[in-house]
Amino acid sequence: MAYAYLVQSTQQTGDILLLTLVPKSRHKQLVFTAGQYAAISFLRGGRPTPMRCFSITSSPSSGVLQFGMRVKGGFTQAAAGLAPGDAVQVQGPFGEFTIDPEYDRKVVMLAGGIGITPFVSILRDATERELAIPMTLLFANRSAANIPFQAELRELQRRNPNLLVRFYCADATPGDTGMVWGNITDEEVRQLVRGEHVGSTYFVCGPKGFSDGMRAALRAGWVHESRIISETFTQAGSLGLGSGFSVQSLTYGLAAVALVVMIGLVATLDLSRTVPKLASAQAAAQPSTSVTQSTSNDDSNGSASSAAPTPTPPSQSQQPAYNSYQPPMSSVS
Amino acid sequence: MRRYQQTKHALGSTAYMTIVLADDASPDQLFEALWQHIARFEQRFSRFLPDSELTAFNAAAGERQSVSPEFRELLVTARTMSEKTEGLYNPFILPALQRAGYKGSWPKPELADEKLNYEKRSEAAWSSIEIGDSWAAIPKNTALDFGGIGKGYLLDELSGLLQAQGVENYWLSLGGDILCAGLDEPGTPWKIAIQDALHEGVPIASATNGGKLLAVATSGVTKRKGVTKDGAWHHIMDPRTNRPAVTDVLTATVCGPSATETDVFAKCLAIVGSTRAGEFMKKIGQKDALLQLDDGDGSVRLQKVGTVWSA
Repeated sequence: MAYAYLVQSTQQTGDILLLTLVPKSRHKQLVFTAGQYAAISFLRGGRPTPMRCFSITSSPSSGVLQFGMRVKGGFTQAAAGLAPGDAVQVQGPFGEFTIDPEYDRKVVMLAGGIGITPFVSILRDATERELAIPMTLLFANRSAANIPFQAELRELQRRNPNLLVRFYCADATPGDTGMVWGNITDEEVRQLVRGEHVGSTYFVCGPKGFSDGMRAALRAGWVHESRIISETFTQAGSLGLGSGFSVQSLTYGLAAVALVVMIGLVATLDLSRTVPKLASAQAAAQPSTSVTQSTSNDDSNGSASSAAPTPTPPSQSQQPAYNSYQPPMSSVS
Repeated sequence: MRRYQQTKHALGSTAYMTIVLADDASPDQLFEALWQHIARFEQRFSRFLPDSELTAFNAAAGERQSVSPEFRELLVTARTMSEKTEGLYNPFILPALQRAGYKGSWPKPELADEKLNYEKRSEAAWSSIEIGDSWAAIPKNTALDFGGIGKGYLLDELSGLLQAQGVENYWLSLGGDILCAGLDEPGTPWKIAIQDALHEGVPIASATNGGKLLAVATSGVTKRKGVTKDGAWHHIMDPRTNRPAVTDVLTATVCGPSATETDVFAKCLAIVGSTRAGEFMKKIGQKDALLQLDDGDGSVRLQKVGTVWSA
């Protein structure tokens, strides 16, 4: 089912765009759970764009639908050009990247780059509802200069006594308050799963390299597969859907399959026209994780060390999908 | 130039090997050689392995024993460092360390193999080590441990291995002890962050190598510690008391061209404390050190000596 929304605002900080929508009719609006995502389409040059999926960053009770995306490709650049009042079609919600308070008694969130977006919705929701679940967010970025939602995450941590946020940046300097130098290492993940976080559910979201690295580290720490929930950010051409098409009215079935095929075809065509090189590069990195999400196409800021030793080729021409480089830090040996 | 990095768990901690090579050079063989060297070192010198050369040597304490050239070399170095620090570094501290609580391989301080229990043995003066051409001996009922020097010594060896292969630009880390040389990929010096003693992963200062060989070692009482029925313990042992050091230093960081020396000196500075740190540094000819002291309100107070440190 498609929902009619109108643009309330667009807000761009650096290359991060927040697109906020309001329902055209308050009687027909998308009902979602924090952590899910949805597909959007709007008119560009008089023609509807293909549907593209983005994480919802707003909380379910906010009355608006907000998406966070990194502006780089043609679709997101067009989204940045939307004006208040412009029409946007929304389909969804999709995905099972959600917290079940009955089952998830402690939560650890591992985010890489723009993979933070579903966590923003989860944390906003948890803080508003004063959810009494201990939550720890480890958020890896390549650059301290452009961390999405940094100010809001710090504010949420201040307001929510159950929330601990740690920022990881490869280029953090001693003056960067609250920043952890470098990436989320396997050793830190091992410490996590051994320590006070035993029994936690681990949510992982970020580029493929980040998600794979974190999942491998968690598995190496004997975290049961059922306790690892992950989403990988990929191109729209590899769009996959979760098990629920509509929480209220539809079960996952033929409609979802048809939607996948349609979106996949249209998005692939669109990509091949607009960003062919990017599309081919991403096609080589098909997700293999339990849940796959298509999002703003251009992010690769997450970072993690892998469980097995892997060389990091950092030349500009062969920049990996994520940067696993750990800068030198002297600590108690 | 391209920068390559590999990481592994080694010597009870995380090891990073980072090298910068010409675009057409392959790092694979170099990494393999580095990891093999580390594995051989651990197999030979670990006190946690029942079949290491060190364990065999300790088992026959009191007898003159044949030792490998590598074992002899490290033994000579350990004795030299003991002499240089006037006994503040002492490789005979193992029985006291185990009695304090640090028995097994970190992070499990409990002992997995009773054969490796030296609690009932005695400490000895460093000067009691006897070293011959291909043999060595320690007093009966004592035991050696290279934990206070091993990582630094191994870093120097790995550095030599790379230089012998013509590699000029690299940084290596064994559990937080670092040795770097040359330049990073963009042609800039390596910048080594120093971790805040009370906030893991947070840098509190930094040092750059200026393109030269630079080792940075940090020791302190904030890690590898625990509580037993006899009270709290940490792994920085004071050979003067054979007890965990009573010190106002949370961590001591030392810079210099030798990783062996910085590893040992950092531990000694943590032992002597802030008031005697200057006197000790003068004695050993050490110019650069950074002490992190507990200011009592959850943050640290820095005491910098030397010119290498940046904010």
